[in-house]
Amino acid sequence: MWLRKIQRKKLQYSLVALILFFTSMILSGCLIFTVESSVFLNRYYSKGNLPDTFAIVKTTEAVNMLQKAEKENEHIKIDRVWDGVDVLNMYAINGKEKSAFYTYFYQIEDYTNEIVDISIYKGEETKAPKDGEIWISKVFADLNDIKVGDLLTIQHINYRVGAIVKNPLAPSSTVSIMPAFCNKNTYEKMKVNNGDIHMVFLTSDKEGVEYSNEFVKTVLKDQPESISYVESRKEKLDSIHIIGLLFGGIGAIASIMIFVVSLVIVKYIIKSNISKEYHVIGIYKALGDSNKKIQGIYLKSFSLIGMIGISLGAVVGILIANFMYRSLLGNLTNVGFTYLTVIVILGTIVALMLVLIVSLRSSVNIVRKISPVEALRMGMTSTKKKLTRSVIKNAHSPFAVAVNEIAKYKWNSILVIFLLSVSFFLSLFFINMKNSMEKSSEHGDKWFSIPKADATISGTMSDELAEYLQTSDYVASYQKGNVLVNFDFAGPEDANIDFKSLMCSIFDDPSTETTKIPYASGRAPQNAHEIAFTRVILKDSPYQVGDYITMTINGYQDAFLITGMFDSMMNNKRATILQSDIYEQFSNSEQDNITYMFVKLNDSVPYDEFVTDITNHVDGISVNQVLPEIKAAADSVVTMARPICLVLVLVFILFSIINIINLLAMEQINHRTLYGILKSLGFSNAYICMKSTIKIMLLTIVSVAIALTAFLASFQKLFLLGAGVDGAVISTVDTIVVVAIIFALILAITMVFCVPLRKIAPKDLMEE
Amino acid sequence: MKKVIIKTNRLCKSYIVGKQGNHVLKNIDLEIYDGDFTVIMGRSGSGKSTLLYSLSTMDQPTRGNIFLLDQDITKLNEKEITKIRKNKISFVFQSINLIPDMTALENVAYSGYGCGQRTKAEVNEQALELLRQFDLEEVKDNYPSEMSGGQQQRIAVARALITGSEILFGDEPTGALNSTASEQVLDLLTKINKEGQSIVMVTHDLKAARRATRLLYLNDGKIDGDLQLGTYEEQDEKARAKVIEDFLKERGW
Repeated sequence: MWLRKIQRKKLQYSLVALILFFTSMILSGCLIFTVESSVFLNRYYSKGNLPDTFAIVKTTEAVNMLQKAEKENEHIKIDRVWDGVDVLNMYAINGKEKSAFYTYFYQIEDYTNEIVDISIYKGEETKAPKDGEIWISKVFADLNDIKVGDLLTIQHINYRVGAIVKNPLAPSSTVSIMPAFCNKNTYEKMKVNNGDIHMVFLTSDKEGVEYSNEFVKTVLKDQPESISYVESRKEKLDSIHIIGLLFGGIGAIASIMIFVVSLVIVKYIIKSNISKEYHVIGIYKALGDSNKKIQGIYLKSFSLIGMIGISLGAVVGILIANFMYRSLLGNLTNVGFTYLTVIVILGTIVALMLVLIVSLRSSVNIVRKISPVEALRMGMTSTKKKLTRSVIKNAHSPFAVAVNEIAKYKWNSILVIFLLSVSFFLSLFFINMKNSMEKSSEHGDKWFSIPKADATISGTMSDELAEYLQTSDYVASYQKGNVLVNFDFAGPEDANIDFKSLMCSIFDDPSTETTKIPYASGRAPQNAHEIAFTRVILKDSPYQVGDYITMTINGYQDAFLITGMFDSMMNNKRATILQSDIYEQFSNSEQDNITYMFVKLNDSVPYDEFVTDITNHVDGISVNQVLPEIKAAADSVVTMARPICLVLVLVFILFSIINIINLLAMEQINHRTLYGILKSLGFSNAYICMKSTIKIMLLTIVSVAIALTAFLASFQKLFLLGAGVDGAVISTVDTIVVVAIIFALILAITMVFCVPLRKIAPKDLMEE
Repeated sequence: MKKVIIKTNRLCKSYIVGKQGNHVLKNIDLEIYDGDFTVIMGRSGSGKSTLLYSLSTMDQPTRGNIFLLDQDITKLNEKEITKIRKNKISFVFQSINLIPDMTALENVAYSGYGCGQRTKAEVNEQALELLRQFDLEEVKDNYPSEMSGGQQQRIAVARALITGSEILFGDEPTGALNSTASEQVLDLLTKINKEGQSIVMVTHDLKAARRATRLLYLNDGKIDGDLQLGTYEEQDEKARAKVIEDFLKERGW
């Protein structure tokens, strides 16, 4: 009997299966992605799989010192040393000039036998680059749109890109210097015109990475200028893990939300079915069928459909997971799925089925309350519904009748509004999440603790430059700052603030009014003895805004007032801001003095015009709209985030469309008799269609209003919660486009559902 | 000479069920006259409801012509047919088919809005008057679920009349009612017929058949009998009953 029920109501059951399929697909996809990427990354960046520390030093002497110290330290082992060149000067890609940022070229002989896992993404599979050829990291290639075969010009010498490689040293550009590779001959040639660099790979037998990091600092404490960069596998892991957890977590929460919506819809469908079949249920009971048997018809039919939809969805979720997985981990190595995927899929199926069955059981309880006599008396001449009075009296126009229907069938209306509001909200959330991430480089103040500027000048900070900035009609204001510099910061033992190479921003005037860098708590430092930290640092410390703390910065000790707490994505969300008067106390190398001018232009001054003018007047400078390092970091995040967000938006739009189709199909089925009556009374097809369309459109408008209100009220907070920066940017255009698309789709579907009505005679409609 | 309000010419209706054709109406030629209370009877499956639906624009015939108020409705498009349903004819169903979320007054008035030149206020007034006439004023604000079957069916008749239609069609309007309620509805129909309303009704209820001024018998998709009865008077009921019984018996009822 229950199988026949499915056969008779094929469309309705198919739509239910599709709704549950989508829910299950998104949930299992997000869970598979989160679990697999977490497990993979933890294993990939684990002790034993990778060295603990990657120390980039500038001299052979520094390498020798480390090697000598290694012999005297039983806990430390130097796994490998890469020799390389430090390319800092201007270079070109296929003849087009690009400003440089840190790229180190290391010589290798056999990539398959290296200390870190290098895999060839594109290009010829030779053991090492050929003479005159270089291999670049996939991150670098993506950011600069470089393909195999392109020519990179460094110091007027062309090098062919022989391959694009994946490696664990460049998971994203948020923290990494992206290594590139060459063979010995090419290295010898490059060495002539470029700086010396060596990457020393170290591992300790101690827990964690701190011991080996500290080892490098200690050995080279008298030559700190010889250290370019010290990074550990933990920081590499954190830089990519954070994004994975963000999307996996948000995706999972979103899918749970739509599962709740799906359950509400399934309950509504069952309730609606039972209401329509009161009379039939009465007959069953009158013939001696038990409540259990009758309930079983609904339970079995919906359970079977649920099982099919949920199972298929859970399996197909692999596609979503695969897409997110490759977006996130595509720069590392070739990744695949493990037995964990099977566990997640099975777990998803079991969990969702359990919840579905519990929900179904509660929905069919109503069967117990139906008495045969009442049910048989009911049916065509009366219903149990208690209706409210008409909102619009003497309603005749399709609009007036639609409004009255919405009010009279308020639970049905609430269901539609609930469903559409959730769908709209999720779509708006993810499209604006994408937009916020895309705009991150323009909002360096919020994302990276960099002053908001129209132009950033690097190079020689000459008097000529200062005079130009003071007198130029193009310039509204400017601010000098040292940013993206790293120093050792150590607080008292109980402070839990102890970082090697903590990223620091130093300004003459760090105030929010000037830099536009917002503070979640407190304010910017205003003098030499004030300091601000990122939220992540203060979260782990008993010291808070308003406390005094003694800090040792690069060997210089002083007391500071913690004035503020801010957010930054750089360096795994760990950074500080200081006022420049303190800078000379601990800055002891020219290399640390990376000074920029952050320039605000006057309104309506074109950027290109300013660049032409300043470069004509001032020598030895480079001008960018956004710091290349920041752009790289932002682009890297966007590259990962954009496709994930777009896929999720598409999925939520599809989900809402399927639910609309289901609700419209049910509306048609439930109201076919009414449509027949209206047709027989002389109401035209156009009238009936208009009434349905207006009703759905009114409900959609209300849903949009609710979703928009909830979205505008919560997006900033949710974004801060998820991403850890106050970088939410709402795009009016994207928001309108998404709302318009869903609106248009709903309208189109509603009109499509009018088509079958035209062809049916009133007699057929009434006989159903 | 009575005016012909419906005329059919070789009217046929067939259904295809699986691979077999089911010919329900077979070349029916008939005329229905203005002012008559025409009742169509026949055994189950004789095609009486099918004939009614075809005559009333609720269904399309397979072949033949139907002239309804001098218009060949088989040649009209959906829009034109809708206009006829709105302004020229009305229908009373066995299953009553009131709009469940409208009150009694709203159900009646709703049909009247947009008919003729009347304002909404005028329609409302007329609807109220009809309810008064049918002793239904006290339930004017009730929903169908709050009324008895007889009350609902009388509302349906009021709904059918408010449009000022020329022909009222009824498909077993007393089929779902008890005898008291049936009597009330039949009294109503008889009353409005005496006032000039043309009625075409299908029934298998002999009590309903007695109210007819003309009885058509349908057998196996064809007209097998045409009985003129004249205006119904209560005192003549027994005689009418006898005449009708004999008529039906001859035809194997």
